[in-house]
Amino acid sequence: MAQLALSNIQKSFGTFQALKDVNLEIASGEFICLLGGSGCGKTTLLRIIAGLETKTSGEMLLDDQDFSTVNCHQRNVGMVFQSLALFPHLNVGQNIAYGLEVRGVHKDKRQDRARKLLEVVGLSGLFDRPVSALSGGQRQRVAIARALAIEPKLFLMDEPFSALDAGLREHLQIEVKKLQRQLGVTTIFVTHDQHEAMSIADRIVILNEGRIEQAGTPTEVYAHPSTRFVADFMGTNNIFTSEFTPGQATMLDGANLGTPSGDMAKLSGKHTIAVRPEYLRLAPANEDTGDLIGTVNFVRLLGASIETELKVGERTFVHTQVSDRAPEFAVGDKAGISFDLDHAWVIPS
Amino acid sequence: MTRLLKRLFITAIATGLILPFLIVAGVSISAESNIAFPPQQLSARWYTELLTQRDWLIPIRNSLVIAAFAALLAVSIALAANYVLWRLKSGFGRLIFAIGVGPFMLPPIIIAMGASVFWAEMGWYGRAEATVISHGVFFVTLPLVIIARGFAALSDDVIEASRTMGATPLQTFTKVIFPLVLPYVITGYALVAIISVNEYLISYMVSGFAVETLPIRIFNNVRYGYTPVVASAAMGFALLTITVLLLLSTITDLLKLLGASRD
Amino acid sequence: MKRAVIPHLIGLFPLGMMSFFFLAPLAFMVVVSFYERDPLGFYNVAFVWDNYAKFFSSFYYTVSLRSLWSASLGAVVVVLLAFPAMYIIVDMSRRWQLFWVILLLSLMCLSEVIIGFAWLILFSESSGIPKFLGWIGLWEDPDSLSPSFGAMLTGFVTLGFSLVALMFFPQMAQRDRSIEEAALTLGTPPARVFSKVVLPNFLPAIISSVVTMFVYFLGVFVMPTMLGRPQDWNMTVIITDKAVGDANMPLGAALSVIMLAFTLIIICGLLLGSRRGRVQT
Repeated sequence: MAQLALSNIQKSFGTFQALKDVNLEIASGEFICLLGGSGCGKTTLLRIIAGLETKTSGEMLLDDQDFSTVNCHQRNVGMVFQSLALFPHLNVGQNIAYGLEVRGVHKDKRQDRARKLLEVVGLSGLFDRPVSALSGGQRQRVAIARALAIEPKLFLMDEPFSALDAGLREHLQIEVKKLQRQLGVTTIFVTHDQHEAMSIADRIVILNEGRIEQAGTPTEVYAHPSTRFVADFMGTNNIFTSEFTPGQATMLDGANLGTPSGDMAKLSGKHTIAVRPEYLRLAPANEDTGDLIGTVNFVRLLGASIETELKVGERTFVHTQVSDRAPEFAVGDKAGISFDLDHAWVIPS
Repeated sequence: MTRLLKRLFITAIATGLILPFLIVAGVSISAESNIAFPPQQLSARWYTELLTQRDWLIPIRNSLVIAAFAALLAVSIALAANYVLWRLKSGFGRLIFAIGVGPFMLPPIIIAMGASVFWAEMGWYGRAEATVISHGVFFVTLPLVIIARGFAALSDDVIEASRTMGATPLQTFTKVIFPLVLPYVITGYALVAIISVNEYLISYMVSGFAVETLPIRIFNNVRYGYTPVVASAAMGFALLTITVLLLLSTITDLLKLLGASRD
Repeated sequence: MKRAVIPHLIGLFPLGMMSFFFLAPLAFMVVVSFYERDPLGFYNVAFVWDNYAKFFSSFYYTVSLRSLWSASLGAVVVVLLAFPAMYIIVDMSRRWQLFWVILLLSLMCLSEVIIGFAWLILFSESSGIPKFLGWIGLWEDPDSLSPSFGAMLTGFVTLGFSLVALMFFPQMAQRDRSIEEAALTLGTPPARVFSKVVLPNFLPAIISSVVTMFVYFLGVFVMPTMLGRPQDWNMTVIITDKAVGDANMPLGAALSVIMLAFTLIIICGLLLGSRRGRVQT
């Protein structure tokens, strides 16, 4: 398998800078997710790695060899495209064997391998089927098998599941993850869906406007976002700036948040902190506690949890609780908001 | 390497398509009476002749009048057929559409021959009205397909919205549908008009001996010894065609209309 | 249900116009093909097979063969040129695409007569290619290049190019380009992507445009008369000559009916073929 090192990758389309100084090291056998909104540069980065796009500057090493001068068709990367790009004029078996055919592999050998892969993705028996006769999920599997047939050094996937419904998508995410672990192939997966990224990646790389905002394990980026953008993107909804004074209680809008401990006790001045919705506590409003008093703005049921949105002046707080009981507050109710500062995360500025 | 080959190929094609007209343009502004290129002396005399002499002016007038009415007829047939197909989405609408595509599938000579015997039987052989109707019916395919794109872009929601706000079907048509398909209708009209102006075989076989159109005039002129005035007529044609298309490209997105959907 | 009456009534207008002025003339042409020629007028009502009998002579046999030959050769050449050209054009900038579209639309609208005339000038001894070749010394004794089979074929290709190119335009512009990228990542050398993936994918469209052009070139009149020699003239020229020149409408009608039948067989074959192709894939 292979390890990939990208340093100072830049890419411009005319005056538009799609990628700005991207540095990333990917270990052999690692499953990386490139995560970000549309236009963040994630697909461009993937296409540069595949050789479909050329970088403007920077260095790209695969197993310590310069990779950027190798032509796309000689890079030996398996790619699954967003549209899947199955060859409509070939049947399932011919699609999977295509890469081996252009490599001059003998017919019997490549058919054997195609059948084996078809079995791996759970489609044995569909070898002679035309691709137009396949369901959405089956096409996905054929595309995956076709990319893996060439025993790629890198396995690249560009939002392959975006067109599928939620159930099938989850199912395929699990399958791809298992398959990748079994084969140990270095994988780069592009998505805009943070849930998808969290559920399959070893490491998530969050991109914004052509820059890497944060790279880390799913737990790291979820619990400890290093920028406000990441916190927003990963769904840490309660982000605010408050005043810290060493040894004293931290205040927010006149409410007492308690005295911080540990590293946070050393902070002074204004800092941005984030609290995940599940760590907020709501209680019946009581002026005496010194809690923040908010007005319930919106309540919605999200299946396993209940989400309550509250307003404190211009500020919005989001609270979630397990939905094993009825919502405690209704729209218009006043509630006291509190949380442990230990659960808050200071976003480095 | 492949880039260079591609560029060479495409330039060669463009040259093959444009070069003949550059030569014609050169001939048309030559002062000499016999066709020669490159021109020794420049002059506008052939254009003056084209626009002042009766035996050129009459064909020009005939062609323009026939084109104006034929295009009107073709577009009204196409609009009605598309409306019916869109409203009914039934076999009836599809049948009309299928017949409308027919003329494009057949070799022009068959259509011209059919029109010729038909008008001979009806007693209109040699009349400009016959040419108008035949052009209008036979060139229906192009506006039919173009206006169909307009109706395809029309979502049912818009119409239902108009209905829920209390509009009658007629009001919905005049206030919502027609304005939305109008660019397609105009494009269809313009294309039929220029194709009709340029058409030779049907005009010739239906009324050629009595109603001389410009293509007939040019053809006869070329066949029986010609002067550079033919070149100026040809250039006039080419310029008219290109002007109309350029005007069209300012009111509609021609690329989208022809089916390119590039973002 | 009552609401649908008005659309049906509106539908009668296009249906009536097309039936009366398109289908009826074709049907009447079949009737006239059995009439007798009237040397003083158009025709006399009769029922004779003479007009069809004339077709089975060596003269019409030769004319038919060379019509088929020139039309099929022209169709193949024009598609061979237009398909790769469109493949390149749709990837150009919007500005250049618009240039091409306007050029192609102009050519599509432009009269056969004009295009033929333009080539006539370009092929002529006094002002075109021969003169140029003579001038630069490549051709010592330049002679006019038309009328000739090659000149006629050039006319065919110029005439059909815009039609084929515009037919390919939507499919070509909207095609999924990641299919070609997939071929690349799977190891296809760039120079072979066109033949390995693009061409086979467009094969049905290519075949149907060759057939469409073949049918179209069968019915072309101006190019053979303007640029071809009498021995290059196709059936269309003969039909026009008989019907208008000799005022023998029944014979012209009979020959047209034969061409119509031939065309319909080809179109049906194409439709059947494409349906079978669709069932398979």
